[in-house]
Amino acid sequence: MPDFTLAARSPLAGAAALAESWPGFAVSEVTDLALASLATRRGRETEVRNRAKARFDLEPPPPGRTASGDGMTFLWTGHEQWFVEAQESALGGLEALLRETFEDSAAVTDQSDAWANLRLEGPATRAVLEKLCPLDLHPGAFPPGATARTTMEHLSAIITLRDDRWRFSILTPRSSAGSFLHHLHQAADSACGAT
Amino acid sequence: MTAPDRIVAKEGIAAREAARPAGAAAAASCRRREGGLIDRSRSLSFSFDGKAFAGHPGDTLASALLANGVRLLGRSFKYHRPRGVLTAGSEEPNALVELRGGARREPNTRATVVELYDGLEAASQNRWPSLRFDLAGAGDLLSPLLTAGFYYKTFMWPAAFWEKVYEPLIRRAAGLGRLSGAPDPDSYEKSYAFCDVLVIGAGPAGLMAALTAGRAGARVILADEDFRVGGRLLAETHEVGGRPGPLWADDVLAELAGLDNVRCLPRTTVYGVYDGGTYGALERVADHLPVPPPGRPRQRLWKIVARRAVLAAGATERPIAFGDNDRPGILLAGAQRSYLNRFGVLTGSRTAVFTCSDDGWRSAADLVRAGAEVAAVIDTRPDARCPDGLTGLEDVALIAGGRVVETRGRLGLTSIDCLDRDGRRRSLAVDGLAVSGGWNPALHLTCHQGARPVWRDDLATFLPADDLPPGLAVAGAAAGGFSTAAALAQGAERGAAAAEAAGHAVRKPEPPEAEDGPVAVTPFWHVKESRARAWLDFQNDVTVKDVALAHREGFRSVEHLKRYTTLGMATDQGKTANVQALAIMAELTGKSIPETGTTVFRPPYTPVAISAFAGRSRGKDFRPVRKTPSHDWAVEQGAVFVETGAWLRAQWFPRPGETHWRQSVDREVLAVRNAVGVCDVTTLGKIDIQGADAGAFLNRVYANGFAKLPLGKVRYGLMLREDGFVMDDGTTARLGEAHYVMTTTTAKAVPVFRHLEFCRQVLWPGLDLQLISTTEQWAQFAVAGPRARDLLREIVDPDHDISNQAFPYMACGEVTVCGGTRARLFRLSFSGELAYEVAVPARYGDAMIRALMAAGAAFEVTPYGTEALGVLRIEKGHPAGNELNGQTTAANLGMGRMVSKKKDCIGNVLSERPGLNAPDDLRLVGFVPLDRRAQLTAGAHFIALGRAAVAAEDQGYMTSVAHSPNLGHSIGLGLIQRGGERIGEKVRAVDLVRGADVEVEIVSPHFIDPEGERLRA
Repeated sequence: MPDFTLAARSPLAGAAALAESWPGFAVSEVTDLALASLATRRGRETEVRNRAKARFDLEPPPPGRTASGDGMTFLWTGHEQWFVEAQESALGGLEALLRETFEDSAAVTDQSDAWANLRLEGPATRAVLEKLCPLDLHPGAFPPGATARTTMEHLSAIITLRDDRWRFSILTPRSSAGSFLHHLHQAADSACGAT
Repeated sequence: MTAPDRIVAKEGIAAREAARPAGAAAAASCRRREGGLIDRSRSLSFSFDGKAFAGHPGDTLASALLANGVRLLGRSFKYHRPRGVLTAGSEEPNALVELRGGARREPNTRATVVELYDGLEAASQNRWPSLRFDLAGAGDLLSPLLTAGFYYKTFMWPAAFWEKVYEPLIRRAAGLGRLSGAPDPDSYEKSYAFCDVLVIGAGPAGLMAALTAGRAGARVILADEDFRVGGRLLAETHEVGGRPGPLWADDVLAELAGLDNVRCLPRTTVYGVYDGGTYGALERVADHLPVPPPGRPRQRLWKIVARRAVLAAGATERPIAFGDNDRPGILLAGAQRSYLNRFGVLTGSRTAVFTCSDDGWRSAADLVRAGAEVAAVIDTRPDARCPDGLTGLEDVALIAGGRVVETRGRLGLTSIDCLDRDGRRRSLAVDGLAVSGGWNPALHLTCHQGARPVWRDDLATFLPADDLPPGLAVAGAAAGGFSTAAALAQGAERGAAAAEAAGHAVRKPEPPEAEDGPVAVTPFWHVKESRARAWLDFQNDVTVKDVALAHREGFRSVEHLKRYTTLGMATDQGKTANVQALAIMAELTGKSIPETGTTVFRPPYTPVAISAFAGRSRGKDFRPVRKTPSHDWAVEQGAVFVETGAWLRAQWFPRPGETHWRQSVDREVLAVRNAVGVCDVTTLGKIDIQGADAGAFLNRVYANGFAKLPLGKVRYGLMLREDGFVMDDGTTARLGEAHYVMTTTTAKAVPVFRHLEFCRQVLWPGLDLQLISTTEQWAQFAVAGPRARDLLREIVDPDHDISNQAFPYMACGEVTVCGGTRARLFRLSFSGELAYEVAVPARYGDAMIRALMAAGAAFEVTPYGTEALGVLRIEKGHPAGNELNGQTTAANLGMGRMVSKKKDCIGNVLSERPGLNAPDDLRLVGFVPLDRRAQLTAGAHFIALGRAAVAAEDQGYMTSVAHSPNLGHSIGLGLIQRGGERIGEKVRAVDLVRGADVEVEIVSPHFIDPEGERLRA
């Protein structure tokens, strides 16, 4: 039988992850994070919190917030629903680990391939994002660790502030990630000057 | 202070005028040697109507033209009257030009707000052959005919002439500028901003508001339409806190620029107020440059969300209507001062002032101070006298109780006639006239949420009402605080209140000292003694007589007046016309001005280009593109793509030598029927359903039973809407005890997900159920054809048994492929062949299609596109989007028995409505042409043989047609009354749109393998 081993491709740049920069702004594709959704089964709210605490030493975050612990980051995405991020090495991985951790107290669904994960950073990041993102990203309104689901240029996006300055990440659906990147390019050209 | 009557007495006007030579000087307007806020050290070249001129940084196109002695800038809309500059701002009705050339040509640009740049090109518009000699100007002679409502009355008959003859003629004659007709080469973008306090206008009130709120630490946005802050301070000679006004404004701007919490947006017009403290603003990012810098947009549309806003938009001066008051050289007094004080331009070599308030006197004072000649101040107030505080007017003649009745000068003002208090007529040789009829607060934005302004008799003007948009306060002239001191004080007070409301502690502001003159105005709307036409709306050529005509003909409400006369329409929206017109209508009807009221104020405040609203959503960027995991591979294969929603899908894969799409599609269809084909079906919606009640949930949202779907099995599901019609169909696989995956059609992926969420959250919140879309997570491929299993055996790892016994039709399961990659395998068939769908995580989609093609080479694998997919399903008789069209029931589709009677589900009650179960209802059947060479057309209607092709004879319609390469002729699916009972019957398929009329036989919809042996093979 011939060898048809399948090679993975990132949503935006094929084999190599995308990385581009402008004065004051850079965007890169994050390809080493696994992603899974976690949704509490009916009536199991306390159990999910206890299990998360015991296994990952974190409290599943409230609306609009993220929480990290033991290599895991939880992003609030809906009522009793979170996206959980972990290094790809946990793949095989993250979905299985979460199932094992939460057993039948939560529904787990792999989302690793459904989203392009972009890292945006640099002092001009907010100036770029104000052309795309309809949310107030001022530190007073969107503090470190804040996360929100929104739309940008008609595309779904989950935006998170990752540090206390200007490092954001955006998850946007894989199939339309090229369109999203195109709009990001235009916003960066406008805010930082065309390269 | 000299008593005004002594002025007149000291030197008789008649004597002075008699001493003057007839006619005006050659250059009526010119640049002064000094003064103004322009940079004389640098020169900018520009052209107007092909002629080269020079101006300076700080100029507008209007000021630069006036500085060069050019007063005639355009022809009016309807009568082609010669027109010049009336104002110095965005309210300009006259001075509209075509700016730039080529694809960047921009018609109807107001020269008064165009910032001069080096190389600027402008052209006058609405004239032929030239601006000075315009043939259509003859229309002016016909003006008695061309009154308000002329078009409505004249071009009534014959009706058919309107579109073909009259309208094109009128459009050519009565027009503004021309579009380039070429695609706009520049880009436009949107931006979002948030603040505690939005300050609209950067005059004394706005600057003070921004400074107060900014110092308190509030997030402030200061927007002004001008390219320089200062507002009215730039046009006057006032001092603020002992500093010249413009310098004080610069100082404030410098302080604001140093505050991190303040953002200044020059060249930005806040054009509309929307719900929830949302404001629309247009920033002219690069309009002051020949071409936008690389990557930068020409304009930017801001959506600003502000907790509080301070409107400090100032006021607009109103003209007075008198005979021939539209000649170039007649300006509003405030505009005349603006050109003098800000741009160092004299708008006339000898100027008269016509005013009904103290404010007009400022023009006389400033002109005298500049050493220019002032012929007279004509003040409508019988007791007029030089206002306190103005100096140097001792030698200026005053005509108290005076009125300008007539003017002369074909292409520019040369003289005026006026009446004095006693009705004596005098002629003045002037080439400049500054007119002041009082000021209208720029309160438009206060009315965008339905408020109507209120009339104040003491100020003789409309003021903002109390029911302002939530969060909005008004300061300065916009609120009736006309003096500089009042503007500063109100700005400080409103700015402080806004910052406090946003949660900031504010130190009590101390506004700097400034002039605080009273508003002394006695409204005066029009000169009744004028016989010539007195213009109200310069842009639409509406006169006092037109208002009277509208009144006579019954169009007396201001809204009717507007529609009948076109008053207040077009680019200036009547900013210099509306109040006078309604005041005149009030006089005619005998009502008060407040009783007469204003027309509705709507956004935008000034024109906004449609391209700015479109932003980046243009051309191929109009909407996002979704690409399938095999997209790049399909491009390599030379696939022809089709848009299905936002998705791009391969429609067919042409091979060398194929010259017609049918050749490619026929080949792909036959390959599936005879060997094996592969198709990317990732676009089908996939919804992950988990929870203890997932099975019960499915049983309620699907019409057919799902309660007993075994583990490892897939079932076809039919979903109804609540009203009993079919919503969508698809399959659901059971992957675990409490874990299902639903597929939907591509088109309905989002609506179905939304529907399920509605059911989960609203209808049955008690169920234990978790939903999430996994459409994007999995790359999914259909592998179909008699050799599909052979191919998959090369792909699926050998420890998974996919034999017919182990993995029969409608089986599903988790497998690994290509040496360990996790995958899902479903034995499903849309084509009617032995078929599977195999799904791998999307990152492997590209590798998977390549592996399938490589592994399938031995089995003659063929990629097929959506066209072949369609042919295959029509041959098999599967309904798809054409049949699930929102108007069909399960019974219509021949699936009535699938709607389970043993359970409750969405739609089953209403699906039993008598209207949906009539005995002669439509049924889905197949059709073949009697003449096998004939082509069927989708959309054809069925008519009994020998009956007329009229709606009353309609028996149904063809939904889908295809050429079946297996049968060698055209086949169709369609809905026809009692279809199932009429197999073998012949009817006509009449398509009046395409001119087809084909006799067809009603057949089973299953053209291929009706027993389903192939798919179970």
